[in-house]
Amino acid sequence: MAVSEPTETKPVVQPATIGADVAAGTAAGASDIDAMLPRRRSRLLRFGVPTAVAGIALVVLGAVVMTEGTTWVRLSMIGAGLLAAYIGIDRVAKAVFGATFDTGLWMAAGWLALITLSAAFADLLPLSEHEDVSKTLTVTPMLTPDLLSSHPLGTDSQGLDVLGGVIYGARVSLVVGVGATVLGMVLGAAIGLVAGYLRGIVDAAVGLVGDAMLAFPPLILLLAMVAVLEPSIFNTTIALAILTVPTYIRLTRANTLLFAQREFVLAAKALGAKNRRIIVRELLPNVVLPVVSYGVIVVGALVVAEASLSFLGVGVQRPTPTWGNMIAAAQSRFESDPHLVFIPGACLFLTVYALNRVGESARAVWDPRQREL
Amino acid sequence: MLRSLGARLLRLVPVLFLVSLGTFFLVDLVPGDPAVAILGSNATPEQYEAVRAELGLNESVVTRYFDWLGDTLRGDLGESLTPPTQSVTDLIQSRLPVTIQIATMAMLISVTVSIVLALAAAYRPGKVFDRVTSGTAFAAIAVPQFLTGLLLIFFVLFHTDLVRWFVLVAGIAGAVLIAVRAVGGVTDHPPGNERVRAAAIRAVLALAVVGFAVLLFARFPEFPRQGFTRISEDGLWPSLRDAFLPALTLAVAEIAIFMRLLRNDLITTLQEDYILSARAKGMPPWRILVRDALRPSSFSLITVAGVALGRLMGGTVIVETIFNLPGMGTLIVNAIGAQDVRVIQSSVLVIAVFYVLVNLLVDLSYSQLDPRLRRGRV
Amino acid sequence: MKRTRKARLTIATLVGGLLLTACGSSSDDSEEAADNGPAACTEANIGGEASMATLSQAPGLDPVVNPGTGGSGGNEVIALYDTLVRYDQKSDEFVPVVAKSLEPNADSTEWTLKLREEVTFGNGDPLTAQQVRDSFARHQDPDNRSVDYLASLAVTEMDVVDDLTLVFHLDESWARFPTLLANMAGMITNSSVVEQQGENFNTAPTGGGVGPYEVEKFTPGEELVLKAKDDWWGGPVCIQTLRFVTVAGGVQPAYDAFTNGDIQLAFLRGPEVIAQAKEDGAAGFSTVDNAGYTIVLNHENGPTAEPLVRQALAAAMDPEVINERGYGGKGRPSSALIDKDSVLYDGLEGPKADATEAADLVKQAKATGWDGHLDLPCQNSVEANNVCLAMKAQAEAAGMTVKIEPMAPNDFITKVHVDRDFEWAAWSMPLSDADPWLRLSAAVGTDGARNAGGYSNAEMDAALTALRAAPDTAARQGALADVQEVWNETLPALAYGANENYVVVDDSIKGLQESQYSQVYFDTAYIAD
Repeated sequence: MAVSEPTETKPVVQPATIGADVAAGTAAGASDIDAMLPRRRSRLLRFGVPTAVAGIALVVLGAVVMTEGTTWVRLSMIGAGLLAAYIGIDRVAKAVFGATFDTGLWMAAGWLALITLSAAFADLLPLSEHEDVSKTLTVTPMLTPDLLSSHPLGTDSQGLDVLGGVIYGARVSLVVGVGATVLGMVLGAAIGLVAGYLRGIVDAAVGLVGDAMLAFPPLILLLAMVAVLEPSIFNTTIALAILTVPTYIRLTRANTLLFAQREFVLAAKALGAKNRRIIVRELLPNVVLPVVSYGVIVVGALVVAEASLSFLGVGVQRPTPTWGNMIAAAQSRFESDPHLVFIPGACLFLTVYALNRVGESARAVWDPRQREL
Repeated sequence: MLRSLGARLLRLVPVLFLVSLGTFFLVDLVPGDPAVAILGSNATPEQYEAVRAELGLNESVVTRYFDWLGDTLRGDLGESLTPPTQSVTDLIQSRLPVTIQIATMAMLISVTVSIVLALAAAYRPGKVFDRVTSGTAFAAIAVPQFLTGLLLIFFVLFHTDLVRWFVLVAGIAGAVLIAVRAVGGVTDHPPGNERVRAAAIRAVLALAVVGFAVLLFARFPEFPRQGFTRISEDGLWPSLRDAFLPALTLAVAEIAIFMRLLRNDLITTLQEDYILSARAKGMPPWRILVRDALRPSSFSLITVAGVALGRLMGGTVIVETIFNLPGMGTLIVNAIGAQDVRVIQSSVLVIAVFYVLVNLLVDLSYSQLDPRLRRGRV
Repeated sequence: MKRTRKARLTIATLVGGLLLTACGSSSDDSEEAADNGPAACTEANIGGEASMATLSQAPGLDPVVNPGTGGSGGNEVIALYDTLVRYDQKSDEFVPVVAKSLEPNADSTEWTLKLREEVTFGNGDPLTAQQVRDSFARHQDPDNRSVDYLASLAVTEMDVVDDLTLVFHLDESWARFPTLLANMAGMITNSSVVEQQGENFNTAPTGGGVGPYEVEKFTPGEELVLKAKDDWWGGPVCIQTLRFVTVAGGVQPAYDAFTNGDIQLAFLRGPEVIAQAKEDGAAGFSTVDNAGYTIVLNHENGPTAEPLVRQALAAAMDPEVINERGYGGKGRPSSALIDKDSVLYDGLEGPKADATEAADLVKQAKATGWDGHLDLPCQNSVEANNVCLAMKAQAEAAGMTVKIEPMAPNDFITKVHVDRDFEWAAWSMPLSDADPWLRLSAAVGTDGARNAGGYSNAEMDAALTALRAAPDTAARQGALADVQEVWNETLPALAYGANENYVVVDDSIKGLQESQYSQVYFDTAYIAD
């Protein structure tokens, strides 16, 4: 289950799982076109621009023009168009910004910015009703997507707007994912710092509890917790946060151990600094970056976990839209209306992908243990 | 070694104690009246009360915990609460092997596929194949398991012809690619026997790929939408066939993780002196990759696969639900739905203990396998 | 297998027939030419196995434990025990199965049951009137909590006349008494086997029934495997192995498993999947439960105890809208008690939906001090959620505020049925054509067993008594008209549609028989090659 992924059960090896291959990949890719000549650049442009334009045209054709066509044909056109557009834009970007430009990373960051901004300012957007079912009694349910109408992505079985649902669903996903990560991070990092610095009996006790918590399969632990609590955004966040605490304890503790023996900490100790001061002033600033950069990846895992809970019917309930419950509600109509599964599914996928991408780049830069490998 | 094993085993005791404590109280907190779960909706207040007394629900929590722990340690997991009542030990005995089989199959699929892909990617790092597989792997990690399952069902079961044609076309394309490479790539090898052998290997490989694709196209297995046949019931093949799609669903993300890991390790290993010297001697790159680089590069893969196996034991909930498999995941989910406290407690405990033990084994084998770590652990 | 199944699905369908017979040939050359074959199992057709997907797992194989409806364990126990009589949908009459005859006296207060001579239990014991008496008495024991408990109390005395004759004396006239003997109370258990097996009888009733099958393997939560008796008193049993499974995730995966060829029969409930099955041309049995979809209202406590609030809800709930949003427009929406296609249909109409009137009534109710708020407990499945959302939408459009409380099915039953701690909730009151009185009186009769709303009305009780005694279809229609009139006036609950159950059956399986509550008999079924 993606919840536990990437677990830090093997601090020495596991990071390599997610590890340095972004760096390796881009380096290999870069050396390939390192000695780029102007001729090469214009060749990239000549290939890139038409490909990008054709790709975008294909997307527009599939999404806007062919409203009469079958959903499957349209979906494949959009998919092929997006791929072509990516390849084209990648070439153009490399030609313009240089060969080491990581188009995928920038696109990932762009998607995250887009989804965060639209979720934050959703109330200002001209969206049709996405939640209040009493206002959609006059709306035709199950409208097919038509980008130029007031329901650009169609409506669901209750006449609720799918675009609105996806954007407000992003709000739930991000609030739950980021909220639980921050909560788990603060708790876990605090415990991990203290345990890693003090060592001894505290460390041993924390280690035991952490081991015991990690022994429970995450999804089953979640299901049990959700059965205890009522399914709401707040409770789901709490349950997910509890889930991440042991992982953060391990990560912080490992990083703390790395710094606790460094000269500046030993010097502070020799100068008679109090434990609290050392932890807050000396260790925390050094530990915070790797922990936060790992957090970006955890957000992705938790967004999936929330969706999985909603998919199993025990997460946040409709009409409050989440990507997971939108997919669950539409899965029995997969054959006839695949877009109702694919639209929230694609948002989920892209967001998790983008978070992983950005998170790994951040880790490659900020996590000292990553750099060592 | 023995001392560290002893220390580790000793450490398990408090961990397992905490696990049992956690299981018991978490489940005990779940709202709902077990008496209603047992009697359903047709009973009188006196009957509900009688059942509560019979279950000892009127005892204090501490007494109940130690009663339960005592029974469990003696191997007596009791009877399930909701009708039809049955021995929880029997239940778990029949369910656990299913989950183990699916997790193991997922692991075998992921390790095999990832090794092949990683070798091919590391063969020419930075080239098209490497970049496409690396990109796809990164994307595969981001697909939620339930979506993978839904898509597999949709295409493999209900659009089988599409998949068959795809397999055929992909197989032929792959074989053509290998053949083209064979013609172009033989110059890497010194002339003479080596070159002939390399060409022959590639020709056989291409033929094998085409043969496999054609075989699949002609005799595509009829996978079931749901359900499971145990090996003990009907032999190996029906069981493997029934478990294939669920295992594949689990494997997709793991393949991606393993493949990226192994590819990176391979590329690192290829920079080592002894590899460079082997290259300088004119050894063909494929042989260097498979014979000299793969083994030293696979330590971390083996470890991560071990950890993943333990994790998968508890991670089959979603695939078991989607494919209606009689494993531990559906047992726990259904027990939560039916509020069968006794089944939840025992099966969660079993899964947790299993996980702890698998991790212990992985830890031990890890320190044995990796020469870098045998010298001293970080 | 898979591909031929898909081809077969294009064949025309035969719905609601007594016997499933082969239909026209398909264009696929793998399919043989049309051949109706024999109507029932013969020696020549012995062999093969069949799997059936049920809606929920049987909680046990003892008739006093099993809930008995076709989707939740009924077919399994019928195969083990058979029933004394069976309801024949086509003729709207009860026909003998294990019994030789069942005859009433003039006012239907005494029923004489005659048994066949050759009937034996699985362990070889002959079936006697005393066995029937003992078996029936188990349903009357409150400790057993049989689904037929309250109905079986109608029998005040049982007289064993001779080895093969038993007379049931009833408390009052009951014209459709056989409905009970076509259900759980009509499944005879061998008292010596029950005693011998004790608690295990519920999972291992071997030898204790007179049906064509015995239990081979029962792994609750996974599957139930039945094996044909090789010396059944009723003649040869063709299908050698019957397998019952419950597919997780509802009826859509079950239907997918059927089209994929994993299983040969599936119990389907839910308008959309049934519509899909019919569109695909899958053959099967259809039974319609009148008023299968209702909204139960609390008459004892809370805002819905006020007639004004109930009237407002009745005006606000448009069955068409719930059908559109909850069932993709594929259901049988109606606020009447009896479905249009029922043999009992006589033009009755339920309360009319009117949004303006609803808003007006809400205003009036608020004027009396009500805040307009209702809590709506709701099962946390996608289907239930869609219906709840449609209810919420219409209530709020009329000016109320509704909070949906999602919960697990068990908690939902506890809340509504056991604790009666609710205001309104989607509930089911499936009335069979065979005898609508049985469940109607349980649901809205004073102190009825399933009267969660606590409704009590003397006129309704009188109308129900008349319905119970009504001797023929016309009389039942007349009595139902009276019930509907009191219903529309006092609103014990709100009906919003009939519920269809559909048992899809692979074309290779023939000779099945069906009864009330979507129950299927495998007694004479066989697999055609």
